[in-house]
Amino acid sequence: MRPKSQLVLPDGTRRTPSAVPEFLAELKKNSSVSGYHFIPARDPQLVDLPSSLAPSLRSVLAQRGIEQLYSHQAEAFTLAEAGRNVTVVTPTASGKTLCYNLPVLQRIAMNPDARALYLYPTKALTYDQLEDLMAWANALEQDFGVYSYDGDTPQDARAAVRAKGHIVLTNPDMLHKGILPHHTKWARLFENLSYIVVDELHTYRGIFGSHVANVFRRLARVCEFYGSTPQFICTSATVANPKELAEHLSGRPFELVAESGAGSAEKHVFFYNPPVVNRQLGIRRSYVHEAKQIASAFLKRNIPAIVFANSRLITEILVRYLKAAIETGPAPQETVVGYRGGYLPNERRQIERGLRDGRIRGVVSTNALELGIDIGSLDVAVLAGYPGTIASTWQRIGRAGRRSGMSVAVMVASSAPLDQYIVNHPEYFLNQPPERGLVNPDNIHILISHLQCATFELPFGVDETFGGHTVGEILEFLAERGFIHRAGNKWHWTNEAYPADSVSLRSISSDNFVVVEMNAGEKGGAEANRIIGEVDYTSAFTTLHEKAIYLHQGLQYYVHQLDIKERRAYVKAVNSDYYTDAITYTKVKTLDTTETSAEHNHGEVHVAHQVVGFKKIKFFTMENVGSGDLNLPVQEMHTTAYWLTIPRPQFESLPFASIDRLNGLHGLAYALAQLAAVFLMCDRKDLGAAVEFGLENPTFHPTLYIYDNFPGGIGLSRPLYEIREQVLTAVEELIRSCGCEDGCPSCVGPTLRAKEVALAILDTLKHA
Amino acid sequence: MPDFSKALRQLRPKESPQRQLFHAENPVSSLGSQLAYLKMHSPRHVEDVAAIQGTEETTPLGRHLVVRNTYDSHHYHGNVRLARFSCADLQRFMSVMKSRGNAVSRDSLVFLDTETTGIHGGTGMVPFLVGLGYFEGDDFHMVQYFMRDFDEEPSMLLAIEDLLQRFKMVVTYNGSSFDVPLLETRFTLARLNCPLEEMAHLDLLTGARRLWRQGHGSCRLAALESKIVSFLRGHDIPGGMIPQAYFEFLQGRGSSVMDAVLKHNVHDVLSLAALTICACDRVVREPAALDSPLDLYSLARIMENTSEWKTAIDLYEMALGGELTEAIFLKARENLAVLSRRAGNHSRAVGLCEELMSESTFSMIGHEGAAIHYERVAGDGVHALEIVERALSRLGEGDGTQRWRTSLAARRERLRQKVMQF
Repeated sequence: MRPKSQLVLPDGTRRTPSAVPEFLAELKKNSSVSGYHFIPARDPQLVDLPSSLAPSLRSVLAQRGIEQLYSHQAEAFTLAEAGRNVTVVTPTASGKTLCYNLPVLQRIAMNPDARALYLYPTKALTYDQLEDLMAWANALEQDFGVYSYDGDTPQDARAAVRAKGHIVLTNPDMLHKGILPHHTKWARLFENLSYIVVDELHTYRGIFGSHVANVFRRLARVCEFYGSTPQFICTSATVANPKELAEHLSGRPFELVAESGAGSAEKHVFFYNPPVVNRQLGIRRSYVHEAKQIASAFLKRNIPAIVFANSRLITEILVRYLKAAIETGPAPQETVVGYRGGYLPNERRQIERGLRDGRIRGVVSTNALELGIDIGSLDVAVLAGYPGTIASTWQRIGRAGRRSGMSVAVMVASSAPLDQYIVNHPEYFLNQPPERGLVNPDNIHILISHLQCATFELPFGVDETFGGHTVGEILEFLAERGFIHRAGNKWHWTNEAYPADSVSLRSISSDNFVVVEMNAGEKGGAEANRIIGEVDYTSAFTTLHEKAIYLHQGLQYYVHQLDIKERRAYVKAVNSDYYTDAITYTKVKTLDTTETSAEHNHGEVHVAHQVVGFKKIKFFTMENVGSGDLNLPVQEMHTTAYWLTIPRPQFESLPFASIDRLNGLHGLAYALAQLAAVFLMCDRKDLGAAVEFGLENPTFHPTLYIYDNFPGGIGLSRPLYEIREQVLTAVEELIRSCGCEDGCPSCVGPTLRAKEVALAILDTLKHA
Repeated sequence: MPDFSKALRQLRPKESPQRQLFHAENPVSSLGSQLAYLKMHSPRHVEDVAAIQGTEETTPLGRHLVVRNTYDSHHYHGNVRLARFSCADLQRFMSVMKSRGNAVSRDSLVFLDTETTGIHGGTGMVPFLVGLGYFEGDDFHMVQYFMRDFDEEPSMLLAIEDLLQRFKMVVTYNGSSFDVPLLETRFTLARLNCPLEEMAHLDLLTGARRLWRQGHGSCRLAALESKIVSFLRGHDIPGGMIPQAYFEFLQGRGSSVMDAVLKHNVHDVLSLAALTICACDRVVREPAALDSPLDLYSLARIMENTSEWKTAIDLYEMALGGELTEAIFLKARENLAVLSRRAGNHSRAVGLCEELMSESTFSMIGHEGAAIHYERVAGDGVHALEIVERALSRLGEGDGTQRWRTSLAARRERLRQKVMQF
C-alpha cells in the first residue's frame, strides 16, 4: 500500500527536512532537555489482498494504487469476515480506516441490503471520513449511499438518509437523542444492520464511556426488536486495555488486532523542562514561551511543525506569538494557523487541506487534531504542556510521523505536578503501558437515565435484563415516581417528557455557570454585558464566589455577584495585586468498606463539600493579605473512594508540630490526586481528595481519601486501590525529585514543611 | 452484579411527607400547600366508581374499548350541517390547493384525530385514543378507539386497521407531521401493516392556513372552529392537560376526566369535518362582497396560482373595496397590476402602477410595471426611462435591494440605447 500522504499529494511537493539533523544535535546539547528517546524506523509488513475480497473493491483499491494491505488491515478483514467483533489498536496514521471500511464494503457488495452505522466521537471526524467514503461510493459502480446524520443534517434530507443510507455516519449523542428514540423511522437500517463501527474507542471512557455503554445496551434492544445482530469493529489509539474497554462498552466478546503492519520513519522524542527562575517558589520559565521558541526555531528553518496546546486560550496565544515570530521574516507565505473546536467547519476543512498540500507550514491545535483527521504528516510536533495522559501524548507525538526521513517530537513541561513528574521521569513515560480506559456503565445515576430512555424506546419486559443485570427494582423505583407504568408483563413510558433530552452523554449533570462581564464596552463605557466564559457547577463555587478574583485569558476580574439560581456570575475587569484562594471544607464519611488491605481501603463514601471562605494572597510574595467568609450551599454526594489510613500512634509520633503534620497530610493528598489522575487516564477534576483527622476522636486514624468526583462513582477508585503501590511510589519520587525547598505547586502545594512531612508519612507507611 | 438495592436506597429521600406540611414555623401559608394537604388526605378513587361509557370489543390481539356515536342528516356542528358535505366540492378544493389524491366518494373518506401521551414525538409517545369520523349515507358516524391500558394497544390498532380498510382517503388537521407518522410508528411497533400508507391524505391545516391566516391569525383548530364554524365548546379540557389526565386514569383515578377527553376528541373530529366543509365553500361558493377583505385577498392569492387566475382579478378588486392593512393593501394592488396586465387590461394596470409609485413605501412592481407599460404599450421610451431613473434614486440601501438595483440598471441601459436611436 502506498502511504496515505502520497495518495493525496503528488510526490515532491514537500521539501526534504535537511535542517532537521543539524537541529537535533543542538537540542541534544540543551541543558533543559531532561530526556531523549530514539525510535528506529520500521519497515511496513505487507500482505496480499484477501482472496475473498470482492472484485469491485479490488479494482477501486487498484485505482488508488493499493495492491497489498498492511498486515493489521488484512487481519481485521479476516476476523470480521469470520463474524467476530474486532478491536484494532495501532498508531496514528497506520491506515485504520481501511480496517473497517473493507469488511463493511465487502458485506454491502455481497448483500446490497446490508447497512452499517459508523460512530465518531465528534462531528469534525465524521466529515473527514465522509469525504473518503464518498470517494468509495463514486468509484464503486454499485448503488450505494453514504450519509452523515447529525444536528446539522437538514430536516428535508433526513428521510433520504434513513431510506438510502447504506452507511450512516453519526455520533453517540445523535444516536442517543435522535436515532434510538425514533427507531421506527430507521426500520430499514435496523433490520439490516450488519456492522457498528466505533472509531477512536479510547475516547469512550469515564463519564462519556459509561453513558455510551448504556446507549449500546439500548441499541442492542432495538436491534433485537428488528431481528439484527450487528458485529462491532472498533479502532483505538493505544490504551492498556482495548479489548476489555470494547467488551465493557458493547457487552460482547472481542478479538484484538494490536500488531501494526504500517511502516514508520525514525523518530526523536525530547523531554524539555523550562529552566527554574525562582528556586524558592519553584517558579520556572513559562512553558508557553519555551514551546514558542522551539516551534519557531523549526518553522524558521522551513520545517513544518504542529504545536499542541492544552486549552483554547493557550492555542490562541501561541498562534499570535508564532505569527509574530515567523511571518515578519522575508518569507511571508509561511503561514501559521490555529485549529480548535469553535472554528467553523469550512474553516477547519480549509486548514486540513492547507496542511495536506503544504501551503500551511505551522499549526497550533488543541486536542482537536489529536484524533484521526487526515492532515498528512508533519516533521515536528511540539507539545506545550503534558497532555495529561500517556495515550494522548503518543497520539500527539504520532502527528510528527512521516513515513520516510525522520521526525521530531518535543514535550515541553509546564510547572503542574503531572508535567514535572513526566519530564523528570521520562523512563516512566516510555516504559509505562498507556492508561486503561475505565468505564462504569452500572453507575446508578447513569443507569436510571438510560433505563428511562430504553423504556421510552421499547416497553421493558418485566423479566428483561439490561446489560445482563436484573433491573426490576430500578423499574419499580421509576414507577413510584410516575415515569413508567406496568401493564401486563411490560413497563411503559408514562411521562410527557422526551427522556433523552434531559440526559447529556458528556456529564452526569449538564449544569454550568456563565461568567458575565458587566459594562464590557470599549473604554469603560456603560455598554452591554458580555459573556466571557463558562465554569462547571462544582468549580463555580471555588472560583466565582463573591469577592473572588477570577482569572480568565490572563486578565483579572472581580466577582461582584454570584447568582446561583440563574447560574450567572457578574464580574468586572480589575487590576489587583492579589488573587483569591477559596477555603473549602470537605467532609468525607466512610459508608461501607468493600475491600481492605492493611492501611489501604476501597468502598463507598459520603462527601459533603462547602466553600466557607477565601484568602487574599499577594502575587509574588504569597503573603496572606486578607480573608472573608462565604455562605454557599453544601454540595453532597454518595460515591466510591480509595482511602489510606495512617495509624494514629505512628502519625502522632512524627517529629513535627501538629499543624505541620496536618499540612503534610494535605500535601500528600494533593500530590496523590495529581498522580492518580495520570495513572487512571482521567481528568484531574474527575478525582476529589480530602483528609480527615478525627482530632476529637482518639480512636479515629487520620485518613486520606481519593474519591470519584461524580455522584455514584465512575469506576476510578477501585482500579486506584489495585495500583496504589505504583502510584504511591511515583508520589514519593515526585516529591523527592522536585527542585523546590519546602513544597511548591509542582509537588505537595505551596505549604511550609509539607514536603518533608509528606515524605515522612510515606516512610511511616512502609514500616507500618 | 452491582448492588442496585443499596444504591437506590441512597436516592430515596427520607420519607414522612405528611407530617412536615404544617410545621409550627410554617403555618398554613399558601393555597398551594393547603391543596397539597387536602389531596393527600382525601380518600382516593372516589370519582372512579363510574366507568367510562362505551363497549369492550375483542380482537385476536386482545381487548379495547370502543365508543360509538351517530349524527343524523339534521345535525349541525356550529352553523354547519354535516350532511351537506359534498365530495365534488372537496375535489375542487383539492385541485385549487394542488393537493395530491382523489376524493372518489363521500363514503371513502375518513376524518381522523388522536389524543396522545405527549407532543414530543418518538416511540415512547402513544395515541391512547383514536377518533374516526365517516359518512354513511347522510349519517355521520363517530367511532373512538380507546386503550384502557398499554396492553390494549395492539388490539386497538388491529381494530383501526380493520375499519380503515374501507376508506381511500384520510383527512386530518396537522396529520402530516403528527398523527400520521405517529400511527405509522405504532403499527410498526405492533408489527402490523399501517393502512394509512396506502391511503391518500389531506392535511386540512395547510389549506386552512392559506385561506384564513391573514384574516384570523391563529389557525389552530380550536380557534377556527369558533371563528369559522361558529362552534363553541363550553367546558373543555385543555389539550396540554390531556397526557396527564390519561396518566392519572392509568393510576386508577379520574375516569370523569377521561370522559372529558373523549368529548374533546369527538369535538375535534366534528370540527374537522365541519371546517373541511367551510374550506370547500370558500373555493366553490361565489365570494360575497361582505366577506372579510383579508379572506378575499387570501383566496385571490390561492386562485392566481391556478388555471383560473382570472378569478383572482375579481377577488383582488373585491378585497380592495374593503379595509386592508397597509402592507396587504400594497401587495394586493401589486398582484392585481401584474394580473391586469396579463389579462390585457392596460389602463387598470397602469392606473394601479401610478398609484403604487406615489406611495411612500417603494414598490418595485409599481415602477417596473409602469416602465413596461410606457415602453411597450404607450411607446413612450423617454417617460419609461424617467420612471426607471426615479426608481433607482428612491431605492434604499436595504437588504435585497441589490437584485432590484441590478435589474433596474439593466433596464435603464436598454432604454437609453433605445431612446438614443430615435
